[in-house]
Amino acid sequence: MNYPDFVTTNADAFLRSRNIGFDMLATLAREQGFDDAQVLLTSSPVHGIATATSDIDLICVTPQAVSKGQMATQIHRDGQHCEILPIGADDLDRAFADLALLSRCALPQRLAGYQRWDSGHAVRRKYLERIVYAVATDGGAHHLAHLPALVPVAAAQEYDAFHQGRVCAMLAERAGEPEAARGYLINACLSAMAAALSLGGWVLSNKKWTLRRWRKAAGPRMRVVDPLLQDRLTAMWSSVCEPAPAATAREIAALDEIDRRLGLLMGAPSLSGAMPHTAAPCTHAALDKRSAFLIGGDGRARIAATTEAQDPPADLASLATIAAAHAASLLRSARSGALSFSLVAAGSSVEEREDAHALAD
Amino acid sequence: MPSPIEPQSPAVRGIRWFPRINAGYRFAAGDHVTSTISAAWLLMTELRAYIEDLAGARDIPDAAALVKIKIAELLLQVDAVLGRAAVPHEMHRLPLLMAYGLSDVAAMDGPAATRLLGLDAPTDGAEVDRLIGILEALLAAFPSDLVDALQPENQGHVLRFLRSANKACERVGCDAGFLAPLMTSL
Repeated sequence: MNYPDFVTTNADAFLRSRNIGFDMLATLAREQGFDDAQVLLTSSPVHGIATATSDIDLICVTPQAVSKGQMATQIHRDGQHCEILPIGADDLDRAFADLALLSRCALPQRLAGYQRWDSGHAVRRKYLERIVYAVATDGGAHHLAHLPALVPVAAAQEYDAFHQGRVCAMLAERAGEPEAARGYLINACLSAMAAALSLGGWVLSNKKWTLRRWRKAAGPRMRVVDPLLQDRLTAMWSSVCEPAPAATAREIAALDEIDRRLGLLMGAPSLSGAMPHTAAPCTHAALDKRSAFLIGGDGRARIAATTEAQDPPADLASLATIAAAHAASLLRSARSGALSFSLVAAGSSVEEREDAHALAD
Repeated sequence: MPSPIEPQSPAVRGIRWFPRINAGYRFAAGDHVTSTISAAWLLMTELRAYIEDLAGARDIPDAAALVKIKIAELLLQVDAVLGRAAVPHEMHRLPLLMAYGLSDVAAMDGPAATRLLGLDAPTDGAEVDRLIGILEALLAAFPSDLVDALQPENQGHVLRFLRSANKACERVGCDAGFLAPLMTSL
């Protein structure tokens, strides 16, 4: 996939469809005081998925420092709704340098680093992703050189979301919550699609665009997605759109093959089938012999049966046989935030050994 | 496949939106002010933006189908805010709505909420029109004028809303700082 051609062609087509040009975008930015900024067209127009009501999202990379928490300016001009956000060039350089470092970490560290990214960087994750694919008003896609660093970091997030959706779908099915199981399956399917697209170089975290990108990726000359995943996930989406409990159970089982394929493509095959977890500390305040308030560190509480306190099984396969009450209690803990099935909790040693073997081979 | 609910059907006309607010229940003042203002802000910004997305995706079923899912997640979020519960992580919102439904946005069980939002229905132009009609009815039922905060002609209204929200917070002795993350999340 030639991404420079992809984004510049999409940008040109979008501007033609709106009867405007890059000069109009540059003028808008100048009028806002960004005379010496690199003006970037971002978001759906450069990905070729904009609709008739899509905003025009511009980012101005300025040589001047930009205060933290800067909000975008909304501008309405000639029927176009534009959003302009300034970002400091120094902040962007630091963000790209840190992204490159993060991309070389093992998957759990990549996850953890990106999850706390926004608290330590002036350039938030969603804007970093936008800038990588952005087209400047001189017609160039100047930041696509950072795509190789973005791909492993973004794909890891989507793979983790897929993994957690899969675990919760299995728990909901065991707990006798078929509607919730279907909801988690829908999320797992969409996350797997997003992970597969990211691995092919097409990163866009906003879930509302995932299905549209998926269909486009199946088009001629795209060659973005692994063929097995393209086939299985397209079939799975058709199935999950039908409210049939038997289909939900079948598709939850089919997530195993998706997981193994994604794990392989992620370079972390040992993580598919693993079920690491993290439990948030909480104190118990008994109400009676049967129940207690579980009080978290954030001061929020929920009441639960005292028999609920059971650990998750050690691996995904064991979820298929746990008792309904056990599954329901794990699901309540996950929903309350007291229990996480994120792969952040996976040790990196296994993956690092796999990387070492791959290098030796 | 269950039949979708038409906007003008008795089933939709009979929905009691925001039942606890519209019924006249009383709450602890500080919590009530913060949760109601937070919910109003989410509806006049994010729900309005999703309605615009839906209209733009009227002829793009793949885009509209996922906007419907985002709307379901948002309504679950608003429901939790109004109910003074911690908002569940995004990954749990759609499953919770499909299994447990809504309480404070409208009292309905999971299957009813799933049908109302058309999560089982093909997303063609007629389905988009039906859903927009439902969401406009929801917005109209809130006891405050939930204009589209992103439209230029409404900026004065939005500023007045924020000033009034700030005053209401002062009146009940709570910090209006809770609005900041909502505003920057746009």
